[in-house]
Amino acid sequence: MTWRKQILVLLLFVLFLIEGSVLPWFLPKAWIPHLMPNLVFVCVLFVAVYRHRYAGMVLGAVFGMLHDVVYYGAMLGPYSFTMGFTAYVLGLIFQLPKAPLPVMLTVVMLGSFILDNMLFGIYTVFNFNEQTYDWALIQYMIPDLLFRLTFALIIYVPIRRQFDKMPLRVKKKDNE
Amino acid sequence: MFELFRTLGNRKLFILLIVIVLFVALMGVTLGDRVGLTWPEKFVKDTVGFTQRIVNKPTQAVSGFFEDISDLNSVYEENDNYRIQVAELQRQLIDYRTLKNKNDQLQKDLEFTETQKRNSNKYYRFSHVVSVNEDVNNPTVNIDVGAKDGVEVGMAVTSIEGMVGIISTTTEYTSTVQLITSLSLTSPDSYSIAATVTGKDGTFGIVENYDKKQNRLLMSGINNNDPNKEKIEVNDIVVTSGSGGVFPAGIVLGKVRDIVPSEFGLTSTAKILPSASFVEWKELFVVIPGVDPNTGDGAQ
Repeated sequence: MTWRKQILVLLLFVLFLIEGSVLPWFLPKAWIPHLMPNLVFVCVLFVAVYRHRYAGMVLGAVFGMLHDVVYYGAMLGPYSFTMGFTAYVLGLIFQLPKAPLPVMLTVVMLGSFILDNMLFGIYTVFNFNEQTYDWALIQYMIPDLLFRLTFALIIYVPIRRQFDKMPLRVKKKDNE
Repeated sequence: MFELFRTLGNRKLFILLIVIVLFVALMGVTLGDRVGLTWPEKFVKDTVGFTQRIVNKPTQAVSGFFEDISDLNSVYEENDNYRIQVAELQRQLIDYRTLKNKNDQLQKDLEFTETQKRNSNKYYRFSHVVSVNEDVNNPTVNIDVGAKDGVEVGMAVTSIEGMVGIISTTTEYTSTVQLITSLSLTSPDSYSIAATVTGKDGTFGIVENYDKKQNRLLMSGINNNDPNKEKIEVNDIVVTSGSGGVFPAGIVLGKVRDIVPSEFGLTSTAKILPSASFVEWKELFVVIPGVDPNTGDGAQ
């Protein structure tokens, strides 16, 4: 029972490996320029909604930093910041241990959209992209959103089952 | 300022502000040219690279297997073609050897310096792709050779078809390739490639921009007005020129598809279709200047 948390982290790492080293070889070739299959991020959103926003934030920041370091091309930090921040904000708004499927899918859609927009913003601020916003929207933001939505649909049932088994830590309500 | 936060009674907003400042600082510091990676980065990259390699091996085997099955029909024809090509290659190799010997002799007679000689030699270090980052703004690919194999930052990387990018960071066992699709005039992290056209001496241009919408490399600074010189035309094959000494000569970049006058009208800009495809990642070659330490042969 107590091993679930460790297994979750391990699972996220496996997803990280899959999205970088397995998926590009199996996705249809026409999709590849339009997709950033950030599978870890979808799982982080699940954690933020069904567990706690802080857990989501920490996982998002850590795996974002891992992504930044391993694929270091331009700078460190964008993924770490955006994934942590998005998970925190969405956890703050939607955190509900019994959230039904439509709510979770909305969270994934919103999260995916916010993530891509923030990344677009950061890269624009640092002069890395010259694309216009509407081009980016059509070329990769919406395909990303659909792909992550599909992935969330696939993993919803197994992940939900595991989270329901995991005992929520009984804690006093945050007083703010 | 503090008073403001206290009246709001919101410590979290303050923390968020600090975090934002810290992240912006981190991005600013790690932006652009860095001398080397710190050891935690190297450690993470090497360990993750190792696990990625383990995961990636069966993946490539399985996807290769499916591809093989779909290719099964055409394999006889292909083999026949290859046999003919190999025979031709053998003949050309003899020609090449004689020409190379002659060239070496001439370089010696003309008293080339060691750097100049080294520049005309290069060898291809074979490597597997272990992982791909499909971020549109920051496309990178990790390969399984590193500083231990003689790979250094700034070396060119090619696929079988043509140039795909340059090495942006190296660790002991892995290195990261920054794709030429991220070339940009404004980006602080970009670089430019001195290029020429095969078969036309004296033509010159600089490839330093990539048009993502049209999928074209842009080669600017072409002087097509000189009547004494040969002009760059559509369907010419663009290769690196080797001048400037950053990249060795003769790496294929792509085929000219269109030539338009530049903004100010003095020079022309060629739109080049890159010969490398940026979707099919299997093996890449790092172009290392100098003589191959294994064979002692600087050929090709």
